[in-house]
Amino acid sequence: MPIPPAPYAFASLPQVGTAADDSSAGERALSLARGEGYLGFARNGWQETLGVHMTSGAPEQLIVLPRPTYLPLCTALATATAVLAMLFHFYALTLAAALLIAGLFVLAGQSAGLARDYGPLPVGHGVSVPPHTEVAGAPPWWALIFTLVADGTLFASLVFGTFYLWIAAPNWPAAATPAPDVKLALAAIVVLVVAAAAARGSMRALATGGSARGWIALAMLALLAAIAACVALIGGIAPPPREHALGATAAALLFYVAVHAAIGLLFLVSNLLRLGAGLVSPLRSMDLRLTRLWLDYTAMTAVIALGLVLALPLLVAMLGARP
Amino acid sequence: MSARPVPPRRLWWLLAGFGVWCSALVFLYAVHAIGCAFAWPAGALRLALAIVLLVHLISIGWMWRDHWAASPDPSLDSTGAFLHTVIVWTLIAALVTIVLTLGPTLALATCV
Repeated sequence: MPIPPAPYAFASLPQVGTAADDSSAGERALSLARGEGYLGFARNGWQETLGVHMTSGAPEQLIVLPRPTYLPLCTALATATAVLAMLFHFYALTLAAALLIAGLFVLAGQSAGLARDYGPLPVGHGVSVPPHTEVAGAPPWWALIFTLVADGTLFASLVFGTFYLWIAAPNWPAAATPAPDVKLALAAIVVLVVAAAAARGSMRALATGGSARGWIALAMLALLAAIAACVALIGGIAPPPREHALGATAAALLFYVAVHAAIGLLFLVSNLLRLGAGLVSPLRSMDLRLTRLWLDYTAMTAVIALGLVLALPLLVAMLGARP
Repeated sequence: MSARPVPPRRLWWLLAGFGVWCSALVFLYAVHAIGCAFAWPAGALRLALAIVLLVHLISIGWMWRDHWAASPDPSLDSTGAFLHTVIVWTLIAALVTIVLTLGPTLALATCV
């Protein structure tokens, strides 16, 4: 193996159909170096690897890897700045760094994917598979699934914290009884459901050859309304978040919803830019599917979070009935 | 006719048994905390905990019975039979884990 490794990393990928215990490593290495495995050739200047079926290991998709870029390093530095600035109470800098991170994520999305449909491409050994941009279970899809699993754990911890404080915190109930604006909370839930439905509309429009931009614009308006509703609800929290954990808990739940709606907006902005750049087509609809998944998650967690905020007065009243 | 590969969604069954164990842990913890906070009588709290435990044991036992009774799908490749065995034993392991780790809570003092 040359150091540093060549840009293609491996000259070709092995095909192993049966138990490989008896095969000679030396022979196999020579065969792979001769390019006799999968992807033993170059095309379009791409860095390629194979995506395989989860249980059979058969080639399923051709993954075109992104080119080396400083964007991940810049995003990591901006993230570190945001976190450190928050720790040292430089909140304006935190906000600026958070906006920079958002911009860098959208920018990174503009160079991902392929600009046209390719259909199945030969990968060697007489096998042809589509590029990852044209299959359902592509790496970005699984990346978002696992991100949402981690995010769901964070949300479950937040809900747990609310109930834990309710049961175990000293000085509960608070002197001021919470009285969230029910209509505003319900409106926030409705607009988030509208945004999720609009994301589905955009997918349908793309699949039928129509324009998805109208649906995307509707989803953006709905998310802006949801953010405004959450901000208004945070502003009206009693007791104030700085004075009692009850208010702080409600603020944290509402902030969670608002942040997810804001990230949903970034998804939609990226969708518009990538549609304009020709990076999205009926065959390459991953962007819209990712947006739909994110907005579904946002709507579901919003129902739970806002439902919990609305239930806080009842929970507080129950505490008063304790023996 | 060549055998079909195992559909990836069947892999979720590997999580089923210990997913139920997680649910049992969360619900027992929650019922116990709420019961103690609201000073439920010890008998009523113990009964509630026993019901929560029983519901989880029944659900995991149900899944185990269904998988145990069914033979592996013959149209799937050899991974199908292997996965079937692993799922059955994962469910058994989860059932035993529930009994061993959560069962004793019924015998302890309810609230300290």
